[in-house]
Amino acid sequence: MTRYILNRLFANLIALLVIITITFFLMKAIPGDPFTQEKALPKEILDSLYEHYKLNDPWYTQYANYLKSIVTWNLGPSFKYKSRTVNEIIKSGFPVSAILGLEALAISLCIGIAAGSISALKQNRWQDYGAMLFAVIGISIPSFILSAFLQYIFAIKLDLFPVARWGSFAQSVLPALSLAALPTAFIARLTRANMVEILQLDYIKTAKSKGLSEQKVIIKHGLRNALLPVMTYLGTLTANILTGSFIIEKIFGIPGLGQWFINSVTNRDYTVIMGITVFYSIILLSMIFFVDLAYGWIDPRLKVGKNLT
Amino acid sequence: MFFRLINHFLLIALSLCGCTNMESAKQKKVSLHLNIYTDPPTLDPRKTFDSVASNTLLFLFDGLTRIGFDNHPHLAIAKDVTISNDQKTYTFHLKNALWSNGDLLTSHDFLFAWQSLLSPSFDSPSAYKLFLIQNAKKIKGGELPLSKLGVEVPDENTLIVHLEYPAPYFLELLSFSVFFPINQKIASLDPNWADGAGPHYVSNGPFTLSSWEYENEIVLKKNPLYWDASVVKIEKVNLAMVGDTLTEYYLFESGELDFAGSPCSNLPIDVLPTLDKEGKLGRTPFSAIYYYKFNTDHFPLQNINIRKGLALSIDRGAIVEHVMQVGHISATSFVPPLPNPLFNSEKNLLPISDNDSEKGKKLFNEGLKEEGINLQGFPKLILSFNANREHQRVAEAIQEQWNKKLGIQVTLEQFDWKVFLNKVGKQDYHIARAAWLGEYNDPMAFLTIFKSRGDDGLGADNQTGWENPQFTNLLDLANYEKDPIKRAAILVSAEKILMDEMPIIPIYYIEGLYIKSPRLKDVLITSCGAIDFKWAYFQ
Repeated sequence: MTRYILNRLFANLIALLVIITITFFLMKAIPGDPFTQEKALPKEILDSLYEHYKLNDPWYTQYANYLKSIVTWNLGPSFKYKSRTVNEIIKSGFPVSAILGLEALAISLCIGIAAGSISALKQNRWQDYGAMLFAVIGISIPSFILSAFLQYIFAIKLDLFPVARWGSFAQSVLPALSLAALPTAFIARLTRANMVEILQLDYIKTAKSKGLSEQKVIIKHGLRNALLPVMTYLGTLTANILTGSFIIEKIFGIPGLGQWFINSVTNRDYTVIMGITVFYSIILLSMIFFVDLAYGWIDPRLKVGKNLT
Repeated sequence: MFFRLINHFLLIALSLCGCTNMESAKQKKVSLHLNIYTDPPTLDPRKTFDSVASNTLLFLFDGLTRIGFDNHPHLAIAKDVTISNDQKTYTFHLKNALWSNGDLLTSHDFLFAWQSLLSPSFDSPSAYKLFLIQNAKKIKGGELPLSKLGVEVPDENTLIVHLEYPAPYFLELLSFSVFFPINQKIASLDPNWADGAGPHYVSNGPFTLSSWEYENEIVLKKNPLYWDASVVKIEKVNLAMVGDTLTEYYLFESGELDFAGSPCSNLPIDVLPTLDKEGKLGRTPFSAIYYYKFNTDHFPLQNINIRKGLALSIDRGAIVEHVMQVGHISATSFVPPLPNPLFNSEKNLLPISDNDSEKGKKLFNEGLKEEGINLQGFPKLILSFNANREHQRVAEAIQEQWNKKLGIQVTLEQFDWKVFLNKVGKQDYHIARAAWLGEYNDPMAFLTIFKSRGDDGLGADNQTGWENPQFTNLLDLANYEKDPIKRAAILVSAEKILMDEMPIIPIYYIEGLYIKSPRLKDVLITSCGAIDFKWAYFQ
């Protein structure tokens, strides 16, 4: 087990280094720099700015500096936002995105698994069709349309929730619902598909014939196994949802981390691009790692580090 | 159980939004709710380079001058000004003004701000705006020491500025945030004084910075120590940072904002016609133009007649009316109508008329003949713009008009913003979209773009490859002309050359469109795209 964990950690470090390197070169390869703007800057000013931000150094020095800043987790100042460092941006943005993300994650897991299971149990009946219709809608409606729709109905027409902004619980409801729609639908379909398959397997029949209660059979034997693919999906989903969504944060005016993924690239804000990519990669790699460990807990056949023969 | 939970949440939610609404209704009379679209990149006046920061700084600071409702500069921190005969030396005496921490504001604070801006290692993209001060450019380039800057401070109350050349718009420039004073005592003590709403954030304007929650909200409070505090009616200002135009509109509709739209943001294009019909839409003409650039080094666009043919065949009226739908004015010259009588009267002299298909076709055919090509042999041209729905719709309309009227086929290409700027900057395009907002209300703010090709690192905004020695000479002449009427005539003749040779196609003059609470009065939106709430009040 320890050996497995160490191996995985090492592999993750290598992956991180590859990500950093690719990001660095891609970032430098796209045309334009942080100081490209509509009113072109005179040479004296550009020289002074390049010097100040060390953009005149050869690429290997810049690359080494980036590596050093990541190892020491001192990600440097933002090029555009003069009063802020990348560390501060992550520190203030991530908790906001994470709270919203957790709300959305809770909604999608509860509703998604419940709806999926009900559909599977009531296969081809109205409950099934109803839930799956909603799932298809949830998957196919883009989040910006859903958000605008929710804002219009629940904030403007019914005046139940605030239109946007961040600060109170009420303000987080509409963005959390918009953010949860797609994963809810996806989880519901995933759960249903697996439940349907598993409920027809022999061991369910065996369990039932042993006289176990319907509830116990479904939850302990059916659902537990049906959730394996959901677990796989959960790794990337958690990483994505916790680090925020550009569209939802923009539409609801939420000071999270998500908007920086797009804005930093648009602004060619080199330090922010780098810092945010690395931060996201770390979260993603750790989530996948935890999911792999959790497999063993849910499915005894996959227990890591144990010789099955 | 589940539904009971939901019910519970809804109740909490209801009570929560109930509270906030009631609160804002009670304070309405003296507190202002605005949206500035994004976080200001900085609140250090010296480092500003965008409109979000400079508009926020108008709440916090006051310069030597401030733009008034007539779009002209009025003395602010300056008590009086004497201008020398050669118009190159300005002597200011300061009012008895205080910083928000009670310190006395002196002329040293101006000198300190400008010197730090021009020091070669200081991180500011906007330092070039000071280049008309004597020796400023050489100092920034590291050729001269800071002590050679053409600014003198004989005493705490007096400031003498020497310019490189007489610039009749200098008093207007002084109202920009880069020219604001900085509290020398604080800034020397704490170089990061402007990084947040700490005790070191000291300003001298109508409001003070009360809190700054990044990407979320800035709160400003009335500054009781402001020299003109008696005219400031608003006690508290909340600046939201919502970066979505539809959400901003919804926030306005639900009463959470008192103002929405230009110049801080834009209204969603789909709601404009309705708002206009209902008479709710406010419009301000900006000194700004939306235009296309020709790459005059690209065959056959080096030919004047072909360029003019293309320019005359555009139906600007149709674009303004059907594509933009609401607002904006067809542009038949490069310099927009400026709020200055000197530059308004002779507009009619300019040679271009809108949608002159007949003349356009004639010139275009002449151009083809001169180049020895026929319509079939006309090279494929590409019209480039940065990805945006509005730009795309304008480009599609022009593509169709050229196809119908001249029989040519142009291809549209769109790019990411900085990729686009990079391509145009390297003159790697055929025809490209552009826009220009005059920094000050003078034709020079527009014509100076085309003063030189840009090879000397000067006319970096030209990007057309066009240059005309006569045009350049006229601009130099205007720079040293002291008689304002003669100067205006020189500038008009310079613009005539530009229109005769047509390295650009004027399309429309930009207007700012906004909605505001009907009770909110005296909001100043300047023709240069600034918005000032110093005098604003609720009826």
